[in-house]
Amino acid sequence: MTQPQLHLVGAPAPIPAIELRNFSACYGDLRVLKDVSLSVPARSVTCLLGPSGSGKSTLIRSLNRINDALPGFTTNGQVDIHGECCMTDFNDITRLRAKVGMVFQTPCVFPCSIAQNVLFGVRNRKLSKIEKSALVEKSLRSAALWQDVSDRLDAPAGALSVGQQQRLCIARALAVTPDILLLDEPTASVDPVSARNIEALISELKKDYTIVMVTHDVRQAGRVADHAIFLCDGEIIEQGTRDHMFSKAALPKTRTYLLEEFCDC
Amino acid sequence: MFSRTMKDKLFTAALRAALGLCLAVLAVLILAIIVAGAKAISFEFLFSPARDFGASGGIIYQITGTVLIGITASLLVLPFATSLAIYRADFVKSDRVKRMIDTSIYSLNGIPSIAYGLFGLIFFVNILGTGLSWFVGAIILALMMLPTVTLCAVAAMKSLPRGYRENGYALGLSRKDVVIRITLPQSLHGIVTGLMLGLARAVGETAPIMFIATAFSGVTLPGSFREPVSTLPTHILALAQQATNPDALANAWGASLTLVFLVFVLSALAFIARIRLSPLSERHT
Ligand SMILES: Nc1ncnc2c1ncn2[C@@H]1O[C@H](COP(=O)(O)OP(=O)(O)OP(=O)(O)O)[C@@H](O)[C@H]1O
Ligand SMILES: [Mg+2]
Repeated sequence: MTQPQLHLVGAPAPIPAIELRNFSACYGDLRVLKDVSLSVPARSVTCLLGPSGSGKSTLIRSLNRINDALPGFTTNGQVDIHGECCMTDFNDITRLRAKVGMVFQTPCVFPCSIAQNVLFGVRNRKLSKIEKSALVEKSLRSAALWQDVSDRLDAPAGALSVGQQQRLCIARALAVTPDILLLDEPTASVDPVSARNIEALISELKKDYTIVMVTHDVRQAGRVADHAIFLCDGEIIEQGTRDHMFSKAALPKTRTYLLEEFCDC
Repeated sequence: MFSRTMKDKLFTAALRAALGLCLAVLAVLILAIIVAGAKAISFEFLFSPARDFGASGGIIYQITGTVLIGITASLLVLPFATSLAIYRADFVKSDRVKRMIDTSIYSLNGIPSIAYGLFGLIFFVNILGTGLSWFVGAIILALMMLPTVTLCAVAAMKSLPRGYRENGYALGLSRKDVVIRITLPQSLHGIVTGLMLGLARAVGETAPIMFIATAFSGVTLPGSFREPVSTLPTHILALAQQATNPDALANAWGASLTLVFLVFVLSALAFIARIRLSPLSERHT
């Protein structure tokens, strides 16, 4: 096995938004992530690639500690978010989640209006009516959904198409004003046109946010990723810039997976 | 030897017969209550107080007594059942504790209603010295309703897709916020259904309240917590004991029909609540 590379190949090392050092995660006795070390540069798109069951979701779900609620889930090692230790410096876990937003594979809107969905995570902040509608508009615009729904903000969110619902979930996460956005297969349950919309949206969002996304679609990673991390069986095989990972200089295993979507590890 | 199709036909016929028997018994029972009860029911009967131990006069104070005890019991059971369900569904992590809670709830459901009555008599009337009190009756009925309401609420909370809670947590909501803004509103249909089912059963009960909360004659609207009322089921019991008097018997049928109607309305409300309040996730699929 190759040693995981802490520094990105072919790029000057910027200050990482997320840094993992010797991070391991277990469900009960099953060790799913094994001594993973990686860094994610700020304001860019980092794609997590790897075969099914390789631990991509587990890794991304450790970054905002959403897995903490699962019985038997334990972790080991260091996770830094902007230099703060994710495990100990965030006594108030809701503060961590306000910095690290997350969108899941299947869109899950709450049974209330579109506007209320956008505001779902900011109810505890004191906002005036004007501030609220400004936030709704800003978030929906950022999620490229404003055009579709500006005339029916009070309509039930469940009536939107699945692709629109997924963008609403992104808007809802953006309304909390995070720095980092975690996306776990955000286009897996939407149609190809909506998937293209969301890809374009991701490329737009990386100007303001650090984005970590899981995808099964190698070609999608080729389109949107600035950096890619190839994970297999709980270990990082290789990480680097897209240009490096998709070039002939990449490791043979990486090349096999990216070209043939096959992995023998 | 019977051929295979023959066996099949016999089997189907047996199933049909069982269903037919159930329906026939139900139909006869309801028909009898309606036919016999309708003769006694009039505006006068529904809205005037009972006289001669119910043999003449009406059932207005039995209706108010039943409604009063029913509503009070519902209000008492609601916070307890809801908290218990939330704790069971969202807060307990250990499987052993979950099983323990479930076993207790099922056991509570299995206790015969007369045992609740005796418990009320010994604990409230004798030890605490409350005397006959409609409020104690409501407490006992609330205890009887607790398992039904809790189980329905837990079932609704468990069937809520995990994604809802996860999305809530991912947006930075605290555990309390997730309960108040996601779990509770989305399992409201289960809570209300359980409440209506429990109530439908509780308002028909005689045994748990007849020693502790009701008197058989001379009751009006209670002026304090420590007075007895009369209810429809205990009134029917009293009337049935005078069955040799045809007037009393007619009134017993009339009171029965009123009670059946009340239970029917509550069940219908439960059915409507189930549909109207069920979360979007269930309605679309
Ligand atoms: N809640 C859980 N309890 C126990 N084991 C789990 C749990 N979730 C995941 N696992 C196990 O952890 C391993 C990694 O799962 P994970 O979901 O992280 O994979 P993944 O890379 O996201 O796969 P996919 O591409 O199919 O989504 C798998 O072997 C899986 O069986
Ligand atoms: Mg996954």
